[in-house]
Amino acid sequence: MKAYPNKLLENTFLVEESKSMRNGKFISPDQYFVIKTKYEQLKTQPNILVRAGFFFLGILLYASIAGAFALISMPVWDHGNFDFSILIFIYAAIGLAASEFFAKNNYYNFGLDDLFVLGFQVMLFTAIEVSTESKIAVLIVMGITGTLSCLRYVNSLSALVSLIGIAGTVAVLIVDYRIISTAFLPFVMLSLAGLLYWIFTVLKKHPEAYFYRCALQLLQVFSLILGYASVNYLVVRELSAELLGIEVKPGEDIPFAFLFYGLTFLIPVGYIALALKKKSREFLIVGLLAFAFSIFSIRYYYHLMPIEAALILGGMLLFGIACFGIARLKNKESGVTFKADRNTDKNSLMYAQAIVINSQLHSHQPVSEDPMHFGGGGFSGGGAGESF
Amino acid sequence: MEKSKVQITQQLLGEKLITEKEFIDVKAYESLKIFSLHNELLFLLYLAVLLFTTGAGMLIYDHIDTIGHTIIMVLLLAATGVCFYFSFKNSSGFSKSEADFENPVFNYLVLAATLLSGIFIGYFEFQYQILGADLAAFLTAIVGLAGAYYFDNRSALTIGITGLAAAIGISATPQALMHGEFYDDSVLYYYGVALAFLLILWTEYSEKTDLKKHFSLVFLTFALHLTGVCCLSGMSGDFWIVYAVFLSAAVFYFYKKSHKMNAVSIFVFVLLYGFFELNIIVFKALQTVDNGSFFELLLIFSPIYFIGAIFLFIRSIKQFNRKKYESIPQ
Repeated sequence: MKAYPNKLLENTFLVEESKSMRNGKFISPDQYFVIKTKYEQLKTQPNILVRAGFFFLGILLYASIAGAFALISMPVWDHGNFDFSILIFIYAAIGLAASEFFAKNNYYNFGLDDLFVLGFQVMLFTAIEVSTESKIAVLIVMGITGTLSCLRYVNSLSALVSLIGIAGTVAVLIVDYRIISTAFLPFVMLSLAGLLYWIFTVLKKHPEAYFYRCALQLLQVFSLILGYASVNYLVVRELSAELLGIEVKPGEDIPFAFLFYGLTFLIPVGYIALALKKKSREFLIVGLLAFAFSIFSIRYYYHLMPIEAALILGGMLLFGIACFGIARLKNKESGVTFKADRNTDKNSLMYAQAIVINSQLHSHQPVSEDPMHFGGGGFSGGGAGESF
Repeated sequence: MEKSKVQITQQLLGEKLITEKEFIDVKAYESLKIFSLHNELLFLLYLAVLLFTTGAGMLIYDHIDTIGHTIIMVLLLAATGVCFYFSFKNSSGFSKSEADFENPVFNYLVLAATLLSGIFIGYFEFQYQILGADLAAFLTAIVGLAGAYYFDNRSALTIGITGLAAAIGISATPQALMHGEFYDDSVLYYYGVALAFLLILWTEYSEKTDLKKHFSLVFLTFALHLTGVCCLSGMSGDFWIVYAVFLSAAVFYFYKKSHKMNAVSIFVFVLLYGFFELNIIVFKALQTVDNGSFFELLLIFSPIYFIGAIFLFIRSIKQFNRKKYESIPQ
């Protein structure tokens, strides 16, 4: 099934691991170099910027191939009543062929191969959408193609495509085809999240799981987010207004409101508690983000205090919590600790923070005449700066 | 799920690529089961500072008429003063090389102090209009740079540089770049290039005199993107040749520099800016030919052009990486 020989994949991971050992100063750069030259690996780009650069070049290449093909085949489709979805299917086939070509030449996580693996899928979905005009067909194909490409090309982002396909199929079956009452949608999605998490726990024990660890991580994070989002009060209320036409009048609330209020806060707290118990970064990060979203959800409906007071108080509270955490964990040598992990890079976080902070300055520039303009303009930039 | 690190080191030990001692080291470290919250907690601090300063900024501008502005200014000054006081108290003083607080919390206090003084200066200017917007931005920049150099704080440094850019009328924030909010005023392009040139000069000077050498990457990142964006926008205008010359010089300089510093983040963008520039020039040249069927022919052969470009990119990255391994200190 896999497009790459096991041996090469194994070597690639081995070299990656020894690189992190070099970063942690467990072995010398010299030793790392010897290891790197000794094991034959796949052609990869570990640096995310370089990979993004090649992804971008891949887009140019794919687009130029599509353009050239369209020009050459112009006499055929210029005749009128030509079904254009055929052209898109051909583009998908070209993308698939290119993916195969890169895989056969041992390109793995290089940027170019990522683009073609994702690109052919996007083309395929577009073609199906154009020819069938059916949402569910596209979603089902997404689920299948995503899984297959993830397995074959060891491509983690394809796993995301597949997961969106699966979750989307279930949602559309309920919302559009009404196989059960739409009122149960949150609970069905919550069970789906549980099912996906269960699949994750089963899959991670599989011997091949080693190769798919990023995809599995994605599966885990996706199931956690889906589980939270499906019972979040804001999501449920907005969706029930959208799908069921339930209008919440003053003094009333959505059905089972207390349940959703409770879960909106219980789930993030549960995630964070589990994170510390299981020492799982995935749980921790999803938990923290979910908690922040929970606060936003409640604030969306209940204006307990003006936004600036909320920001100032929230900032002070958060500062206090972080300081408290640092003070508590500072001198611990093992387990949950504040000590930087030897294997991870500390510098990149500092650079990311340094770059993002100047998006904040934007709001303090004393050049605008309109006082309302000075708002939290840079606030969204702050959110994008987390680089775990 | 994963082959544990210990298993992998075991394999390496078996192949005699690492020594027994290193194997034991790794094993001992792994047995500690470290779950580091270092980055997460620091990020929370960072977020706290952002929330607090955003809130403070909004409070001031929303209530400009409702609360006496003297009170606000006193409060703001007091908050800034408290932040600076604790930062100074815990700082080990100015040092030419890399220095850090014993407790990383103070880095974020410095950041808060810098941002708050930025708000204060902005508010002061807004209320009294004594300095003029440019001078106010320049003052913010000075505070940022002073904080950056005294406390060795990279975030304050970027505030300083952004302030400098704002003082000459360029908003050099990531959002402004992403939204294409760049001014059409071509004088600004020259200013931008000039500022970038000054930043480069300053970096070179700092490196010669060993003054906060680790700031180089921040300075150069700003300089590179400032020249890149200014020149590429300038190349759409009439005097495109001038900008093309500027950009070519910059690409040459940064290419050499990225090799010297082993800075991938600069190297990648140099290649991209160079590639864009080349494409614009080629396109401008083709425009003078201006022949429809010729263009069609070109379009058909364009995949070959891109494949060639990709090959060249792969080669130059390989070269870059090879050099990087050779130059790693033994």
